[in-house]
Amino acid sequence: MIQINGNYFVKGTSQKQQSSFFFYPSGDIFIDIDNAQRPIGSTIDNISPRVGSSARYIRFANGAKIESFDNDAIDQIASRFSSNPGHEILYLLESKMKLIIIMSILVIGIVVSGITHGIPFLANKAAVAIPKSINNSLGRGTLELLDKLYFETSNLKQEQRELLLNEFKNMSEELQVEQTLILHFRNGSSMGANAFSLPSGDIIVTDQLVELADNNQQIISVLAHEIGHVVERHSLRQVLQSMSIVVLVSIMSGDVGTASSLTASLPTLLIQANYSRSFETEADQFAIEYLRKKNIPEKAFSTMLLKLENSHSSDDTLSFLSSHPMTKQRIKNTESN
Amino acid sequence: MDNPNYQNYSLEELYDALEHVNEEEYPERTEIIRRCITEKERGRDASKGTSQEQNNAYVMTKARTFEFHGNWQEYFKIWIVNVGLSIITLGIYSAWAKVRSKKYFYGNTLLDGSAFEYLAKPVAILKGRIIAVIFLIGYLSVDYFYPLYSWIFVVALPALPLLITRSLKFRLRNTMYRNVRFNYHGKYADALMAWTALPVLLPFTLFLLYPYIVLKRKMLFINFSSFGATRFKLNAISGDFYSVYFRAGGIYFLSAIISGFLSSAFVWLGVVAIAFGYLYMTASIHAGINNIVINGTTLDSHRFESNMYGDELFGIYVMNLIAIVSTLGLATPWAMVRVAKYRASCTKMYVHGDLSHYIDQALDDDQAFGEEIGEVFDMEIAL
Repeated sequence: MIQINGNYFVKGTSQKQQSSFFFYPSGDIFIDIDNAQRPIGSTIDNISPRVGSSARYIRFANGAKIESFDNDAIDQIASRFSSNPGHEILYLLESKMKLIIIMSILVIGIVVSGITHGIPFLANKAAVAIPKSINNSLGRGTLELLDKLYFETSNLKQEQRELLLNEFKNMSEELQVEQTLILHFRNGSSMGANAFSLPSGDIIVTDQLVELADNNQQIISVLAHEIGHVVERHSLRQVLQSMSIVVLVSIMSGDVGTASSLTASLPTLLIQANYSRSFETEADQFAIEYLRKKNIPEKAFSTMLLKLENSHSSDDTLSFLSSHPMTKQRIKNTESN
Repeated sequence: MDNPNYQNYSLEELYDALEHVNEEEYPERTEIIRRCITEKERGRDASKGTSQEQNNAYVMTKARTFEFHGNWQEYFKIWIVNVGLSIITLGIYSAWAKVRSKKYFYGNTLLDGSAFEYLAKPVAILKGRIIAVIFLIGYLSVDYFYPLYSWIFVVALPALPLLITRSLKFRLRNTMYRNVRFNYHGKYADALMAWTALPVLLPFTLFLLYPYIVLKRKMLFINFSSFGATRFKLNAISGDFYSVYFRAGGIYFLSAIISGFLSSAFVWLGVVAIAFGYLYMTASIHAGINNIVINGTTLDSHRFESNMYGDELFGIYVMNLIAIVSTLGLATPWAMVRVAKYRASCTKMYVHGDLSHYIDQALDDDQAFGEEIGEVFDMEIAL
């Protein structure tokens, strides 16, 4: 006979009856009413799974329920009653201290290596697998949006533009880019000296950047960096990686409570910024390799980076939030390679 | 065994004694308490003498604090197994993980000696989650790649009230206390005002309408909720909501000024100041709104009370954030338990008589669709 203490409720009512319950091996169940054992008069329908030491519920076919915290005794009853083996395994997993420690190390390992290697690796594989036609159509409309929000028509001289367009055409031939690349010139107005690339193969250079450069070699180094973004499908990979991080963080942050949203969004942001920086480094690498092949001094690129930094007021202290690596680091990379 | 001298007890103390005495073990003592109560009640009624008072003579209001009995050591084990299995199954297990987590938190939240119970089925949640993830990927893809067409998600605005209604219904119907489920009776049309029509007006009112919208949303939540068949009722005025938001806005404004000064010396100090300001603002809004809503809620003649302090909640949020970030997320269960403990300790129910006459309502089945979509888009609606 197993005895548990708890509350008894008749079907669909909130009337609470505090009592003791007696479970006999024969399957008979009795409730203590006024110090006398009375039969419950129904059979067990289900027993809620054990979750730590939280309240357990035994439901009867007639809709009545027992609420109790006597978890160990209920486990015994459940083992006799045909219970769900899945639930028992879960509780067993949760109660093995060694297993918990191994699990913690494993989870930390999976999370750290997943963030640093697994997710980028899988995103790269997926990005390559996605058909070219889809990749090329991505970002359609972004240029129009930027035109509306920031840009004005370019004021560059026709000759200068044609010169650069020609250089650009040669570059895409030399690099054997399968995708059609198109170079656009825009007056960046408030945005200043800058260059962008879209997954569609559109590369935008602002007038201010062209004016900032001392020579065409410096502009070419920037173009090579942007072509690097397109060729290596950085936009698509960034999106895939960001999505994976959102999923991972939401698994980690659990499902209870609203306070977690704030603590979940900060790490997400930091990791996404980190991914963005590593793509920038990759594109830098691409540019440097191109410059070397063309026997253009790497100095062209590092000088341009320095000039760009000086043209924008920036601060290195917040490097962990930035989408680009610190210029000092980027310049160092051009030298060390 | 000696019985305490109940004759000297006040009426309130007697009711308390009656509540805690074990009738099976001490039938004699219980009888004495009952007799004393009857005498005292008679005496009180005689001095007041109205018939109304006589009808209510034996109905006493008792304060019952919500208690959270869980602890982080225990929840950590549940959480780590949840996370591990969710990762191994590429997220599919997360639906089962959610149910287990919820069961732990509900089953450890006690009111008047009984715990809450979470009844949702993992498969229903999984279904909702799959749909939600498909929508999220669609949304992010358009947002990243076709920003010019992001406006098509404006069509989601009229769908919002539907999601909110479904989500509340799912959540409440899967919550049980004693042997009675909660329920939600709001319909799409009820939610249209607070979730679609009023938000459209926000930009035209310089966002000054926002606290009023929050009030409307809380009304929509509480006034259409029921325990069994009995509706909750919310009495709140918009002025209270405005004062919470104005004070929080003031705090944030102040931190922005301080941040401005600090960043002229060190930029990172300025960032820290503004981040703390933001966290403080969030905490004081959470605490303030929570208090107004709970203090204004009634169920029959039962009342609720909440004494949450923005400062305390801010302290909890700061420590949680630091702990979670510095342990690579391992402190998440500790943080969750802390919040649950604090929330429960701040909340009281004034039970008028007892809670024994509520009747469960028959329900038809429903999907988790709304709740899960809502979660993914971070629109959780907390009490």
